[in-house]
Amino acid sequence: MKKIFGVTLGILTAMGGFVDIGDIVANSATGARFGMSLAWAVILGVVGIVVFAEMAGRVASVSKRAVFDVVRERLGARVGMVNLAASFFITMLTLIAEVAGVALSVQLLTDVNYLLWIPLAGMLVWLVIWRVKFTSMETVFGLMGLALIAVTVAVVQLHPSWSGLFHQASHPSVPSGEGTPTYFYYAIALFGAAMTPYEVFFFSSGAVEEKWTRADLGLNRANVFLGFPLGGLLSLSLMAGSAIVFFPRSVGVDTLSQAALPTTLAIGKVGLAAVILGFVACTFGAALETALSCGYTLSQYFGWQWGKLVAPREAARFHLTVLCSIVMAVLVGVTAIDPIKVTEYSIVLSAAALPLTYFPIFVVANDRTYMGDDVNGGFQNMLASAFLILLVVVALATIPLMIATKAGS
Amino acid sequence: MRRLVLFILVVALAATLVVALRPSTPARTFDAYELKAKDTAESVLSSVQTARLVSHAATGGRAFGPYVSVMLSESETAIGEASSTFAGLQPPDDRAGGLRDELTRLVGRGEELVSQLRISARRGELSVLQRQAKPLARVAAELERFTEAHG
Amino acid sequence: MSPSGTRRLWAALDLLDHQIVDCDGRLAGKVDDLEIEIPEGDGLPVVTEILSGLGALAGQIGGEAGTWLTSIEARIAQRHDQTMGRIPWSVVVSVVEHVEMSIARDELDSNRAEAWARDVVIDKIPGARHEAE
Repeated sequence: MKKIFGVTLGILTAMGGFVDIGDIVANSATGARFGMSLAWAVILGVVGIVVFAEMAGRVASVSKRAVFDVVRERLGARVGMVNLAASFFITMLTLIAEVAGVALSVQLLTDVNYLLWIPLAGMLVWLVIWRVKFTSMETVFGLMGLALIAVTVAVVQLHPSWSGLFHQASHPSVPSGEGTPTYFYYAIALFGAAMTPYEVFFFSSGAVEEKWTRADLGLNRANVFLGFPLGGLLSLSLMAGSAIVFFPRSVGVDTLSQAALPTTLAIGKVGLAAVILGFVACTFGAALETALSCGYTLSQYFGWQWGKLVAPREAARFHLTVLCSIVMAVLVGVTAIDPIKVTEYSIVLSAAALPLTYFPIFVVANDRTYMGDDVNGGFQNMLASAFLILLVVVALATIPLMIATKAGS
Repeated sequence: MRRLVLFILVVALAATLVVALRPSTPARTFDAYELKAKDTAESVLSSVQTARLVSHAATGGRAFGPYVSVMLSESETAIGEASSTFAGLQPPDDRAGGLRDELTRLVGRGEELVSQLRISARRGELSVLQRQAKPLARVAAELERFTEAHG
Repeated sequence: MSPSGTRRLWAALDLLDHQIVDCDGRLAGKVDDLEIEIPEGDGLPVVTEILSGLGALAGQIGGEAGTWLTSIEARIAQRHDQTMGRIPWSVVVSVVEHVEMSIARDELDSNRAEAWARDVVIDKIPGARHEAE
């Protein structure tokens, strides 16, 4: 009984924790512009993150090495350093977006300008990391994020033409008035939002820190195989809500507030409150994860003590990195740089940088000296190789598409 | 190897900057000007429609005050930004000048109406929003016609 | 394997870039470089020291990035000579999962930056001495 509770809790946490500012913005914006015709990119991204996170979790449990330990060992000091620079930059960009996302969400409740909330949000993020235990932190924000189920309820309440939505999703085509490059640019944005690298840094570091062993692999799989796809369902609900309300009215989504509107129209105040609570929880949870990931990547590359299971003074450089990252995110955030644009860049660049961390994990997941008998199976390898090719293609296509479409405008 | 990686990083960064700063190119021909006009109309239409939706929700008791105020003021700002960017473009000929007059009138009307909505919302008068938003329907219809005529 | 706990050179490839763990189970840097001695006669080369810390890493990376790293390290440690931790092979206990040492990380030269961060910043914040609740 206790075990079933634990598994369920893990799955629900993974589900609520899946969504962050990138998913909210990308799904709402594409739903408004392309209807459901880009749903495939979300599904592809969810399968990708499942494959990646399962491998990273397994490598962490069996070899006791988190992602950047593996990057350093397999790629060496030099290439590892380039990798670190790129990954750290993107995680930092995501942190800026998440902190601003918390502030924007609170603005919706208070009508007080979000710029004033950014320093407060940053301080709270730091305080939680400093004082709250890893598991409680994860569970609380993951479960609060489940309030976003209101978006799914809203989609049902809006009584859409289900066959119409399904037809859009199953017969993808570029809507009239949109160029093919723009269509694929947004596909990459959705893909990057689902497969953001920090999720894997955080997940694998957590597994090492919680001292997962081979015995925990079942739990790992349950969380990943059920939690992430259910989280993907929330993403698709955001897209569907936009596709129903905004797409026919030629409304473009470029603010966070608009993402809450379909639910407001369908359910009213209770729905609006639930969505905003969900936004706050998801962005705050992701801010914690990205801030920690800044510390994880740097510490694991250099071999510093990291983690939340030891007193902060025992992991001084790790905590200093986390603190500096949060301060930096707040400073950039209050310059009134457009948080939605920062979010869009962070997810698109995330997609471009994925091979850097995916490749070494993929190699180690097949290495018997690390993994013993827990190496990838045949089917896993087929899927994982297909994704490796896809990730390389995406990485090569991102920058040209960004230039050709003027970042999707 | 190191040089190649460095080169790729620099190109990527430069590309990102160019795209991010997005220098606006002047419209030298009627076609280019027409395209900018259409983009402006689309963006304003989006904000007008959002304002209409949120006004409807507010009066129906489906949304609370702060949210409505934030959304309406965001719509107002977005219209203002689109309108001032467009106003800064030099129309290349008389035909473009006509286009400019038509769109400026429409956008001005939209901005004024959304401003009124925002003022009412900040005063907490959510019940009047739906009625106040009625004239926006015509602005939206005209903007839609404008984008179709110049698409 | 030669008699005195030293290992063959090819094993060096397996050591480089691995995690070092101290006697209290704390992470204490990476194996950034190795000092190797070739004995006279026909003996096999042996690893005599592990080099760890930004100084050693900068040497591995080389070029401008390496120089830059060295200058950062010098500034943090408030010294201007090239710094690196030298860990004699005699304190290495095991190399199975990580490189485990029989001494505490505070005894390493390469741990000075950690001590600096601890003493100058982290210890001044309330709650630094307790684990999270």
